[in-house]
Amino acid sequence: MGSYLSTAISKAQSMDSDEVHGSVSNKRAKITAYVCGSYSRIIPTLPDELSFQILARLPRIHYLKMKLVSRTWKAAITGTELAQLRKELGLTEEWLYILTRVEANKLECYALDPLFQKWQRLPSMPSFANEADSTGRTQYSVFRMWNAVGSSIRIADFFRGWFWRRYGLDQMPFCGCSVGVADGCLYVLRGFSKAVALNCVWRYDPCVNLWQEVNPMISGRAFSKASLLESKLYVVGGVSRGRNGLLPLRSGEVFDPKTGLWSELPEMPFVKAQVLPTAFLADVLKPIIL
Amino acid sequence: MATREAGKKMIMLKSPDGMEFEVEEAVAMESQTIRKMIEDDCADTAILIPNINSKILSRVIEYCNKHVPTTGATGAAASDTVAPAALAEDLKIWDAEFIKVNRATRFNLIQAASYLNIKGLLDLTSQTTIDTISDNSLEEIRSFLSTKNDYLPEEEQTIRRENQWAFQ
Repeated sequence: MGSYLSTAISKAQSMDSDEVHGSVSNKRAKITAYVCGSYSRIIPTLPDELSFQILARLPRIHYLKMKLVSRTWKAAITGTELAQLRKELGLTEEWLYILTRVEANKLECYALDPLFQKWQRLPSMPSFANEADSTGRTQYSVFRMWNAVGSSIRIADFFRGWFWRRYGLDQMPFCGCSVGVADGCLYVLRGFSKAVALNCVWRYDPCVNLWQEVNPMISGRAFSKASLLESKLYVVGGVSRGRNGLLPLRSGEVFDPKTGLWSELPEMPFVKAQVLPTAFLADVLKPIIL
Repeated sequence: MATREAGKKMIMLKSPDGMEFEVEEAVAMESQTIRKMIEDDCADTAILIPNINSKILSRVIEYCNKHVPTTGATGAAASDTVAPAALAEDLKIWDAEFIKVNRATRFNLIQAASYLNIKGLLDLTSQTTIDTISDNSLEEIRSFLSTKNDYLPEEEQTIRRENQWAFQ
């Protein structure tokens, strides 16, 4: 009897699990059918070409909500075809982006839709954890070098003193990044992280609402200036870590969003080192760092 | 149509269900598709408009009649007496009334506007459709579009989390 019961239970269990399994695969089959069948159209009763005409007139502030309609809608909204059509129809929107530091090592970006007067928070920028690992090794030497710097270079002294007081050596905040816009995307050119001027670059694509890392700059630089010229992003000057502390840079480089490649520019004939300290202090002390 | 002016050429538009519409050439040329046919001399006295039934075609002609620039073949700007802003405002109100149709008719109008390449009508129909859609809840949107929510619950959750970033 006992054995019979247990068999029954195990049988029932196996049937259950079969059922569960079956329903899961059914679900999958259904979804595939949606994707491949008539449901793959954006609006089932209209050719996609016309649905794109309709979607192109949707203000961007509604994108987050509309992505929830269906997978097809999400794909259509985040795809390049819609972005291209909006460009052709002159329906692109200009938003204001603000990059702000909420904690010592945490940056957050907000966007304002000027038309609807609404703020939207962007996804968090990728974590700094990896960078902390890779730069950790060089930290000590950086500060030793700064110690060796004479009193004439006050920036280094200031930096050291200030950061020591506020965060201690391990928690030197991230600062001095530059921001540029090219081809409808937002670029954040990393500045100092733990006393090292980084060359990595992150791009925010509003269509997909994602941050991606792109090819790094040729040189690590902080507090550089970025500007768009003929669809290319020019990044010039700034400072880097040098033998004598902070080194103002004469160099510049240019990023082509189409190829995703950086190329070097001829060196600038001047260097803005003389005006650096004041600008530097103002920049560093600013609550909002752009 | 009896008081046809000498300078105004008339064009016959035929729908596939056999109806014929006689319109001024200037009105018909609101459609870039028909304009091209006329300019390329492909159009005889009658043009068959495939895929657009008489009900929709008559509405399209109604729209073109209203929107045809009043500076026509006569050369004189008839609209000079009316302020352009007032005229635009008037058109806007007319458009709003014109587009008060059911979903099927609106979608048919979109298709007709696209096929006949009438930018103003395509703008109007698409914009009204998306305005209707974006004001509704997700469920209402799905039923309006007769489309289905094909997200797995966890996928939907992920997107909803992203959604929470929008400030209200």
